[in-house]
Amino acid sequence: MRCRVILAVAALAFSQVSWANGPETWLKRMTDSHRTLNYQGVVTYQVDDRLSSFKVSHVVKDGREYESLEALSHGEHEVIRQGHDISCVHPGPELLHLLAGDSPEAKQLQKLYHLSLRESGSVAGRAAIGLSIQPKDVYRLGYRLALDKETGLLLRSEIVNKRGKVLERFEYVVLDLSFDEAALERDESQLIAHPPVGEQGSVPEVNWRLSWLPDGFTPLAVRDQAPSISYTDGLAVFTVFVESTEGAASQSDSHMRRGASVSYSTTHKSRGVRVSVVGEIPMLTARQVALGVEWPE
Amino acid sequence: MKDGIRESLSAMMDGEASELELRRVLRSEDAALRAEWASLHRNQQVMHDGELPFAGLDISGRVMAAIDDEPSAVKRGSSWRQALTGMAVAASVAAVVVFAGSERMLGGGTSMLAASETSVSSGRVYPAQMSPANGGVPVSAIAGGTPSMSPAVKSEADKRFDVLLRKHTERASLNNGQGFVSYARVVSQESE
Repeated sequence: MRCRVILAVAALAFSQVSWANGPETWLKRMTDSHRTLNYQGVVTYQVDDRLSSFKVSHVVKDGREYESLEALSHGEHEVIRQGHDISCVHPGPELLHLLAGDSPEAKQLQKLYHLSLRESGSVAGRAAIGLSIQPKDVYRLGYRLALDKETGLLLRSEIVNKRGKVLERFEYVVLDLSFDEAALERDESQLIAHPPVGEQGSVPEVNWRLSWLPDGFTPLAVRDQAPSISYTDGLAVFTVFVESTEGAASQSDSHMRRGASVSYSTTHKSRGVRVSVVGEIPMLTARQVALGVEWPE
Repeated sequence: MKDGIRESLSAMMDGEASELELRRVLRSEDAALRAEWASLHRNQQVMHDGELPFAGLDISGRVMAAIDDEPSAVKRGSSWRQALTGMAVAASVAAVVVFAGSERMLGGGTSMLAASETSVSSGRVYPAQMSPANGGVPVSAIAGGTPSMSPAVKSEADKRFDVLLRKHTERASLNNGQGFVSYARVVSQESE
């Protein structure tokens, strides 16, 4: 009996600890954990009734991240690997870090989204905490996340539209956090080279600009310097591509959708370019951004 | 433009507008909004071949008239009646839309018809369904089954989307807080 009381008190104390951290703190833990922990697991990706599964491995060794994602379904096994400097700072997580602190940016996130914590069942056999992120305007999507209570690792993620329809779902079905770095079979030749540390990149230079950008989105500094600009509000990311229409099969406006990802393309005939906006955003946002690309004289 | 109506417009773009939302948008006195609706509708047609056969035509008036001709069961509150009326409204809207697009359909295009069939079967209204290819269904689910685009154009559009989505994901996976699993969006498609 006493044992049960102690257990109950301990459980209560533990849950108090979880809830004592605000949703912003959990967001910060989420962005840190998936890069700093060693883990291997099977994650499913679901769009409507289509389910694919992947083996995901992640280890940190000598200050570098090694990741691989291997498709388990469909017969074909494409493996994506990359080597990544762990000290490398990216603007999206950086923005979330700012948002989690006492900075003015913290208020910015609350201007864009309602954040709330809720109890969540276990995911992949691990106790989870639910984090609901609802947009305050129609220009971004909502998120229903389940994070590992112990580490903050993202265990399940649902991207939902304004009406609560789940557009896509990632979910770990198996997760091993005791995964040893030695177990990851690494092939250096397959690693994508990472630019030297310290080179934090910049926003690519382009000759166009956006006449409209939803609140809270900022351009990403990137290293690849491809002539496209990506924007993020810390959670959603979209990329604007401006390319020559030469060889394009269609000149008319078109749009595509796959899970939470959409693209909207429109042609500016006088300039001979096709603008495409691709990202995990509502179609309305993609369209409004695409139509708002302009060329200052 | 008011937020509520903006939201309806967003739902229309995603193929999820309800009958009430359609009414709200079409009844709106906001000229900019009506223009937007007309533009969404035209986009669907333009997608075919880059031509704009009904550039000056705002069919919203005719669609609205079709809706008004239907007895409103919404107020009566009976769910099966609502469902039936929803279908009837969808069908009549579809009829108007099909009428507006009939000239094109003679030329072999069937995107409007495809949209109207979706509407009737689901009891929802999709007049502004502007997806030329799939009506909001994930691209992966409709491979080979799109009546409106020629296979070559469709395959080209799919390929283009794959290329852009992969480039986008290279940046997004580092910045969206979800990390590496974002690549599943790219890989799941290519692995088919």
